[in-house]
Amino acid sequence: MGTVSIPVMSHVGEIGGSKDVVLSLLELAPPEKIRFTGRPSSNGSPYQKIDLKVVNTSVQALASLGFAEFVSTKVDSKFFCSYMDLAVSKKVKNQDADSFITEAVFGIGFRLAIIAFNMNAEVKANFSAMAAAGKIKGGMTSYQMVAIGGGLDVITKARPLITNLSGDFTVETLETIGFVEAQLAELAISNADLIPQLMGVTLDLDKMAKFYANSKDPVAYKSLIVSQHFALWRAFHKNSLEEALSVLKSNPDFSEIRQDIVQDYYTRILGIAEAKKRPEEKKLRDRIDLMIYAGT
Amino acid sequence: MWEIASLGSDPSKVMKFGRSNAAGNADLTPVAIAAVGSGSSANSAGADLLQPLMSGLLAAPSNAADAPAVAPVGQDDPNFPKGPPYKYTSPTISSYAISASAMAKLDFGSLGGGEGSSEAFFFVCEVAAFTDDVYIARAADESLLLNKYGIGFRIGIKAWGLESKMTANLGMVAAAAELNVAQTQMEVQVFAGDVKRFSAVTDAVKLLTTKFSAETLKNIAGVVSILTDVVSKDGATIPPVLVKYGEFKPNLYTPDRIVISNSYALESLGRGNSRQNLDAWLAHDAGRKKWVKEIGPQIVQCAYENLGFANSNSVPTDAERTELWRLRNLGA
Repeated sequence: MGTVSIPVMSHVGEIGGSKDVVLSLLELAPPEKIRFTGRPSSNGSPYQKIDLKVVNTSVQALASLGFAEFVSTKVDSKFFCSYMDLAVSKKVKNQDADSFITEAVFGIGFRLAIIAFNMNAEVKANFSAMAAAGKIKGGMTSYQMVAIGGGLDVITKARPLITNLSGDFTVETLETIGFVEAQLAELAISNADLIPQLMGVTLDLDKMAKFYANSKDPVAYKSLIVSQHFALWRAFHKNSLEEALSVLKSNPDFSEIRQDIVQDYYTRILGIAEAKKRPEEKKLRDRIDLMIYAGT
Repeated sequence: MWEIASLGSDPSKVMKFGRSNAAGNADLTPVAIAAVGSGSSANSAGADLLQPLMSGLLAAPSNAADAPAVAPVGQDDPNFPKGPPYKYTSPTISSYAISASAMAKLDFGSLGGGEGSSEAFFFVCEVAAFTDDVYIARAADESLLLNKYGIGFRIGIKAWGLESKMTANLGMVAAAAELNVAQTQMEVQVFAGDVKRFSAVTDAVKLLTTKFSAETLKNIAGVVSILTDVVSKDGATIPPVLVKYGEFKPNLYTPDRIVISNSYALESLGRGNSRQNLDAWLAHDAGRKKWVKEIGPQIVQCAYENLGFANSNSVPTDAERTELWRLRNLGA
């Protein structure tokens, strides 16, 4: 089973007639497919410390995590974004069997986003290097912290960080973060009624692929990608479905392409009912262009 | 990021404090200090500093296509959190440089426009706490407005007369100010169901001096500290107010967008680009290339990971590229 783990905003709400929808995932699927209905139990398994992994990311991704737009466009446009989760967490299985989400991570702690300007490529690889480079003339950082779960106690524990917020992200900042994190871990362990929040989800890629291909049979995500791309090329070359399938069957190079996915692309996605009809009208051409030229 | 989500028939619950540090003005004269709503929200010490003010800050999304009625601020609202003690579970703490357009949305009235505004840089410090639930309203342009109940404060700082190199954070502004080149202006916003509880900040605001310096930075930290104390120590007894917590404009799922995003991933990997390349497209080519705004970054992540590239900065080896290019060309 192919899975992928994605960080999300903690917001879970009602939308489009479905409850418990993980809002961060709305680009991936209709609301009813991205519900999460498990809750962490206050007893049972203890919190685990999340590995302090720095994830290089994009401004877009930071925005989708709920960080405010915080780049001044007048500054040097060469900037690097990273985020880091500092938290204690628990995994919870989804109770909704229909959903693309298999399990979720709930935690108490912080999500830290850092934007670094004027740093060279090696430096941006990790926070320590960034923190050290922040002291070097020319390097600059701006950071935001979003606390996750836990309530007002978290603000109290985070006081050393709050008073520090206006400066560069330095080695001292890193040490303060480490100190605050240890305090949080203690807090979480000693306080069973602290409420954790949703931080990330694990998605079942094959379930998603099956949905995207509208198939009754299992579909591997990779098979979805290449089969739809094949159909897209044929449509770009103005083949009808019948012509596309003929090309498919004629060449052993195309043995990994799924015929049913090609058919679904033409009939459902492009909306062409007749197998002999070529995709020539302007509206279809415009849609096909968007798909084929993506990334060029 | 936040605005008060609804006025309803109750007095609105925002206090604003500001101080102008225009060059040459050595007096600590308060500017544009306003409390929104009933004058009785002032305590006697701060009464001369507080004036009632009609505020556009509090508008609910009036042109929302199918927005449900945003709950009125008040104890009779069925969604109003139970308390005291109020269960605030989602604190936010941040300090960051912000773009002019984002700043404009935050409704710091005294900081908008005026002297040097086209060359100004903006910063925000904020500490707030919210309850768990999020209420979603859909605006006319399809973006989602997320409303939450909470309490908190936000300090807006505008600085100008700086070289663009120096503006990543407030520490740098202070350093520039020491060299006599920076001028600043500040405004504090507090929101809560009972703003009287934050009146301690009026004394603190008097400490904000005219010329921005390292001293000012300490005093801002002082204001932040006082406000943080109120939130963290007494917060459970302070009722919240409904605020527009954020705006979320995802590229909503459509079958076309899945194909576009997967196609982007295959093309991009075939050319040897990491997932971070998407940023460059989004920043520089969004106007020229129509497909850019259709991309779903999460779908791109799914495709990249599934094809074997989990880290956002992984790139294919030459051998991997050859295979990816072959896949990309199936049917070409």
